[in-house]
Amino acid sequence: MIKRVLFRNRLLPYLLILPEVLIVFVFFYWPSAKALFWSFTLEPPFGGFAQWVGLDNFRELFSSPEYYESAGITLIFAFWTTFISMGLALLLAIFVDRVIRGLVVYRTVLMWPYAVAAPAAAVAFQFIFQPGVGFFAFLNDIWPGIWDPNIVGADAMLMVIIAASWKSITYNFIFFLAGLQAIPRTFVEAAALDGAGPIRRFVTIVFPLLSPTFFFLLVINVTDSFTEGFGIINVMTQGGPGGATNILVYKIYQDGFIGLDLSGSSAQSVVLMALVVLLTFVQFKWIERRIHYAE
Amino acid sequence: MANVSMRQVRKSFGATEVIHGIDIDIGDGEFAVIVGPSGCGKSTLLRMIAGLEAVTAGEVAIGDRVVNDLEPKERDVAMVFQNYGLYPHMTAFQNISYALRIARRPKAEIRERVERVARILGIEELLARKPSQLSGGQRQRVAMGRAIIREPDVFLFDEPLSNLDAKLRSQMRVEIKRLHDELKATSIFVTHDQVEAMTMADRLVVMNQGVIEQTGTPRQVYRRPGSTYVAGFIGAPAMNLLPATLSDDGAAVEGRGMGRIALPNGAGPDRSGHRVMLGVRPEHLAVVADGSGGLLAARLLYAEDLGASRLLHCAVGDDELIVHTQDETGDRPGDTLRLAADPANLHLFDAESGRRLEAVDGG
Repeated sequence: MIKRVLFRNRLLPYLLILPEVLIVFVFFYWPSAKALFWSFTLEPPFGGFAQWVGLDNFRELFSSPEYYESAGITLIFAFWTTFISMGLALLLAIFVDRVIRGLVVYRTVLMWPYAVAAPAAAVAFQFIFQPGVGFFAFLNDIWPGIWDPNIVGADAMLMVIIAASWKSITYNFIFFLAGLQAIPRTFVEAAALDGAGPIRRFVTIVFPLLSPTFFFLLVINVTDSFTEGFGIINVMTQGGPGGATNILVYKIYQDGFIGLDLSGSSAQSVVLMALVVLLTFVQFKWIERRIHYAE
Repeated sequence: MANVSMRQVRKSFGATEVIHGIDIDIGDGEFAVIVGPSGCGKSTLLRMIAGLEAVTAGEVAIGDRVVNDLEPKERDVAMVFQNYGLYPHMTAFQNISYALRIARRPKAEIRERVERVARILGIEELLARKPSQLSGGQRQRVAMGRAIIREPDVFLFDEPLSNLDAKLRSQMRVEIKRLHDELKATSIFVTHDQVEAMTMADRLVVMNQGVIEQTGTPRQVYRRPGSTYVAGFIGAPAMNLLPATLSDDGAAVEGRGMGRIALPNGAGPDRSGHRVMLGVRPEHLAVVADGSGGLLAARLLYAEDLGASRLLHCAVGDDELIVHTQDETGDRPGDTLRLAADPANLHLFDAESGRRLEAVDGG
């Protein structure tokens, strides 16, 4: 159903959407357009006239092995963050969906991590994963050197993946739970009478009916892990050790704001944007076709 | 094929008991209809037989197995739900074949059985459609197909016709009965519609507030309702109930506006002065010519013309009653009518408990 609202005043509707349009324009379209422009120029870091260089920035980018490495790291980070946070969120939502008493309490408590800012969560996790204190100090005492995210790239990667997953589990959980609770009990009961056990019921009935939610979350999570990992990585590893957690969005920041290579990082931004658009397109093209939307 | 029996079955949700100790025996191949107003516990009862609700106390048995602790799938029952419960992401074929696919039957057998069921139900053309592309009646048939294909011991129907329009409903009523005659599986049909109950049941179970008011054939329940509740629930329009008092010798009743009405068998002198409800069905009342006695005098309030017959709404003292007649009388509202009834068609109930006083034989 499309809701139609009739405005008497012809100006009012435009005024109402103006704040949103302004925000999107100032913080998205303008910087994006600027980045697009800069990616074709050589921008002096301290101002002055930019020099048009055509595709040189992109040529340099695609011939840099460091860039491909960062792209690979991003894929690993995005895949595991999405996989872990969606998987655990679905599991938690299934459990909570079975709860009758205290549902509101569970729902509220499981929602809290969403309210924690990424850097704050990152600080907490960095403390938890310190090799010299707490649980990991204990492990390191038994098996010296088994855990040190400050030195070992794989450890650092695992650490940021866990922190980023934890952060987005709650968001996914809320959507999964709402999706599960919107599935009429009758379907599950009919399947139970038809002889399907809990797992078959989930695979053949519940999951297909949950698929619109699943698809929506997949798109959001993949997009998010490409762009939103910044806060966590900036606090926990700064892309290190040795570039092991240097995902694309962090590399853009480092090259642009630390290395002052404004044009190079602009080119990276443009490529990342294109990549996210492409990925979303692929998801819609290949996965959405298999989804059942309720009429 | 199996009989279904319940022994002192109780069900509580939290501290609230909704089923207060129910005993039923439904014979093999019988078509039993559980009828009652919404909230009387009839659906809960059905869901306990299906295994969708746990039994708080008592025993549910299908065949010679006590099924209290069995999963729904182990009970060999099939259920048709009120809103059909068709899986929206599957075609009619996939819906009907779901149970067989879960049981991993061979593909050829599945196809063969689905086609046979579709033929029985006349839905061969619809098998490729999704539920959203089907009309209410077609969905109903697919839901029936999903139940039939499993060839279960027991069919359970949870108000399956309540979402259909009146015409389709009477059509499906006949069809379900015909199917039952063909398949001869024990069926339990829950409804709040007394017409469905009367027309479909081999055995009628009238429920009210978590207890069984009466069990019997529709004929028996109609002819000899066991309580004022059943009397008011079964039959449309409902049975007229007038407050009255038993005479001293117990051989007659007296009430306001009705004078003395002799009872054929009497109620016995030990009940003299007892407050009772006198029941008489609208269709058993007749308007007689003025002055020729009759049962009681009533003032006509208004008449409803149904075409084939008329409903005369009348007042007797402060009470209202309805006469269902096929006679064409020229009466106008405000006229006084003399009403008569065969004494055999009078029912007497205890005014306090509402139970039938058996001395008056209305059968």
